[in-house]
Amino acid sequence: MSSFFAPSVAHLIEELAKLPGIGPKTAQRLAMHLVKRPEEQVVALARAMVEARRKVTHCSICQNLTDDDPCEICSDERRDDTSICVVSDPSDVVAMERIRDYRGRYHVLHGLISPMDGIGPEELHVRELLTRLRAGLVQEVILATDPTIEGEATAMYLARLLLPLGVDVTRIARGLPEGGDLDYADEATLARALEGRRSVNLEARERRKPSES
Amino acid sequence: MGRPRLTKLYLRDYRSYSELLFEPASGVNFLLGPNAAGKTNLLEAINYLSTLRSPRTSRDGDLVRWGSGSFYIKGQLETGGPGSARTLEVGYRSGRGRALRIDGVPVRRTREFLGSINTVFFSPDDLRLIKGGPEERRSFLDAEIGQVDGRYRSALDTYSRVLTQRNDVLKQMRGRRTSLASADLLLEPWDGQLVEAGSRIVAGRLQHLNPWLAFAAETYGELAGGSEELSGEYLSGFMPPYPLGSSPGRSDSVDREGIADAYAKAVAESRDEEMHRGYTLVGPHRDDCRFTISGHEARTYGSQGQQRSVALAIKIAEVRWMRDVTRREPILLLDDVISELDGDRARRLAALLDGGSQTMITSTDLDPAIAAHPSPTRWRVSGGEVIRDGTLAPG
Repeated sequence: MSSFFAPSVAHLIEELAKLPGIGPKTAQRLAMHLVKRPEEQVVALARAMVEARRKVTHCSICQNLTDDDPCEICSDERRDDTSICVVSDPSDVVAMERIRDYRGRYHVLHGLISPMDGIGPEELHVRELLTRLRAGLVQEVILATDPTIEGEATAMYLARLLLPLGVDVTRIARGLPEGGDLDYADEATLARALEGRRSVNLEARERRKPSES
Repeated sequence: MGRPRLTKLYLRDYRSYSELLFEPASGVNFLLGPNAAGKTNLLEAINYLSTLRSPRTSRDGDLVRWGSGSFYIKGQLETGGPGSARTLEVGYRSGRGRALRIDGVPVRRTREFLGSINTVFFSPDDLRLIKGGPEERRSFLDAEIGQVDGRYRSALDTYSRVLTQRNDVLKQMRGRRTSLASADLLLEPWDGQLVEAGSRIVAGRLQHLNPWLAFAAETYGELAGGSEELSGEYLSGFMPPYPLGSSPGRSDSVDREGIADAYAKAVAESRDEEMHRGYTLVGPHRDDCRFTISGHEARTYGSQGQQRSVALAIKIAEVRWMRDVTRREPILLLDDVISELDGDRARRLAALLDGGSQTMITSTDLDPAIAAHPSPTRWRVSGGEVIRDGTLAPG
């Protein structure tokens, strides 16, 4: 199809189509868009791509993507060294940071175990995590991988590996989304939420009572 | 009890139909026409809306009209009461797969689509439930239980994905010298989820098969005149044979944790063998059901007539079981079955039609056993069209 384009455009389409989530049609549309833009805009885009690629590197401590090594979070002395939150991707760190509740450190695995995609534990940054734990400062590892089959398997794998090291290993809870409607939840989610039910903590309320009255 | 009915069925490029709009009546619909006119295709399409699978093929691509690259099914349902209309849509494109919608809203997961409409499909092929292999029985059970039980569907989804992942781990270990310690480390993340989902599937099968088989035994007794007794067992690779339906009421007490423990133990015990063979050896994906007539296995020792009666009893009992579970009348799809049966069995089947379910019956000619049914609606199926036929004389 692209052979009817000028060779330079055809080449661009070909390169764009290698990107994830970009099919031949989209690649074509993007290419047509790019060649119609003013030159300096296209140069800016190309420069940003090259710069990001050249500058960005894995933080030698948490493996998150960063321009400076160690990354901003790992160099922040106010953060809690006794807790590490393990996630699969850099975007998960962004999501966790958005809640502003967690003040510990992170560790990014860059993937989840998925044998059918050829990803075993060796493909993930697990060894670096073990090295960090050996330093002895960490007391709790929070496994915050996705609530999917692969996320669960990765968490189970890490739990087995980490528990003998004498740290507390916790798994984030599964269940209903905040503000969600009970009758719209699918059965699996609802069943999980029921399994993970907790007794209503009246003590916390009673403690609050005096200050309220 | 609710009586959902299909008010409209629209097909595009489905099997023999390039385009069709069929608006079945409530109650009994006779679909008459010569062989290969497309009667079965119509029933298959309705069944597809309730199970997302065809009883005749496991490949969606087979359902595409020859020369086309896609098919589309749209069904409109009336579940009773005002505002209860519901629209189900399935689109399939070769190479792209399936897209599902309920009331115009895209549905991402199969298991969320299922359950809107329940059907029981009677076909001459039902004999395969007795004569066919374990795989055919499992896929039948999974489709039928999946119609009514959402947790079962989600367990099936999880199980099949865990199984694929776990088999890949085993395949990679095969032929390599893997130490037991590292095998444990690689397999255990999947074992837990395998046992979780797998035990839910087995428990679901037992829980549903208990009342189902109890009804089937009753029906078989009526068909065979009471001298013969039908019973069934669930055969699992990790439990002793489990008698089904023998004591009604036990259905509530299926011991899921006991099943999970037995399964976990079997998984641990078969580790060496699994590493050697390179795939998962125990679990619901290998289980089976056995039907016996007065102590003799129906598959091996039953006469053709007995096997037919067992298959029919199971299907008739399915209607009762489904009604009990869903509190709704399923839509009945009878594909050319009545003409194959002798008088008694035909009458027993025809008695189902008095339940008030919406029913589609295909036949090459109007059978006397069903022609007697009051106020049936008749349709002529030929040349890719379905035309209401008011003038056809019975008999």
